[in-house]
Amino acid sequence: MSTTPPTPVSTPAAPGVDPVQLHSERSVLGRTAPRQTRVGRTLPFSDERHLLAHQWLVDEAWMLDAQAYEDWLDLLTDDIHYLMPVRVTTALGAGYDTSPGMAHFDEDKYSLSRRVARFQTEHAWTEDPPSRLRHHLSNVRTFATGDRDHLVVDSATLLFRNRGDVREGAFVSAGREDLLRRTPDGWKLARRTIMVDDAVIRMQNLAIFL
Amino acid sequence: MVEIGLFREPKAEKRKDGCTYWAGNGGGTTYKLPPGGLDERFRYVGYPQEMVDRMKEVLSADQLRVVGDDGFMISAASVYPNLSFVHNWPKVADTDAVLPFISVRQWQPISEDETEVLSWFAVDAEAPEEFKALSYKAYLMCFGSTGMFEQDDVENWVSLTNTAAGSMARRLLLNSRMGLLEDGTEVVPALGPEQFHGPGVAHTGYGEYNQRELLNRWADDIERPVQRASMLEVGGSRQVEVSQEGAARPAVPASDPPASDAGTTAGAQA
Repeated sequence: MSTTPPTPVSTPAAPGVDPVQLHSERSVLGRTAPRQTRVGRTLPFSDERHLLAHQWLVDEAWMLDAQAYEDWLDLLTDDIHYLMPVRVTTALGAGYDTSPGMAHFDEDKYSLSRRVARFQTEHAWTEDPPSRLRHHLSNVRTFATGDRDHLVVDSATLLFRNRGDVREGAFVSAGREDLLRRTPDGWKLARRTIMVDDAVIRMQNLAIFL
Repeated sequence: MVEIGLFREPKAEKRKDGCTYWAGNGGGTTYKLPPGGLDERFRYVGYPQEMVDRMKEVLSADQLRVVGDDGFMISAASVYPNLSFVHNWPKVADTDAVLPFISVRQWQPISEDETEVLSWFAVDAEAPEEFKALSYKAYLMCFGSTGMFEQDDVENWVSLTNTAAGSMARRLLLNSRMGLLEDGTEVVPALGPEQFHGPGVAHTGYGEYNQRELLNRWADDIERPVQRASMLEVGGSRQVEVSQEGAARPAVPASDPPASDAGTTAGAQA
């Protein structure tokens, strides 16, 4: 029988793992990120809160496919922490599988707004002509938190992206842990941790959002 | 990137007023800084005074004169054949303050039309923690997989590669003089030693002087006969000479990478 403590693997919601502590709180720019965490087991799929969270994610996925980024920005809280750590390949038991101190995205509202503004310029060659995008969303699980105004939602996303007529399209697969917050303007995203399933990104660039 | 407020400098003027320099084993580009003293100019690109004070102890007199007297700030630089550095100072919040970052990057050839880019973020270990975090943010916003600068640059490089393989590119000859006039003289004269205290030969303005130097050197290396590489016998005690063609390599395990290409051979000799 093993006496070593469980390995803090990165998969959101792996047994004994707190994705907030493991990633958002430890990231270089996540020190002020909202800290609410999940409480208890997955809410039943018939629970109103799950239905609400699921619909929120589906609507958001549609918005990202349509590249309606200005509308998407409105769905984010002003204190959002949007994080996509760099995955690394380590031996079982190494104790980590993300690159400490480095990320693909480690964003606040300002930097996300600059990324959106960039798409509106005439020099955004990565999206001119625009990609054809499809965010496939699945495995949605909703959790309560310590207060009624926050929900934690796990989901899987598979992004297919294709540009032009010649090159093959590319996929990015990722798991996500989101914190949704109730605001006077509806539910908004206050924290997102994206665990990409690639250690080396095969996509030409990440001029997209997950 | 200026349009969306990522960079403070209006248009590309500051780069046009900057210079490029080539110093044999590599070269780089600079931005022209506004008038001011050494401290003021380092602070202008976002370095806190405590870091400037340390730079004054660490950098050479000539290096300090490049910034303080000549008014140039080193921006991008490359070491022949495939190692590069980036130094830039974007805005990382909705204020006028800029934050400098440094990226180290390696261009790893995969095939004739593929290159893998390894990109690192580097920061002074003794910098204030606040500076380190914001410098990291500046890097993420500009370079790497999600970098707003890099995304669009790479897109252009892909287009160039595709175009270079097309039928028009095969049929047409391009006379690319890269900074040379018809009589072989340079478009603008090199800066004198009192105008540029950095290494090598510098020219003001946009130009392909550096690229011409790099391609010349690369052509020379490609023409040179392949040298025999010396190899170390792993687990043994003697140095063995092994043919570059790999005909006899008794001491090398089967998984050893193929003989280095001309580029890396040249790099080892540099």
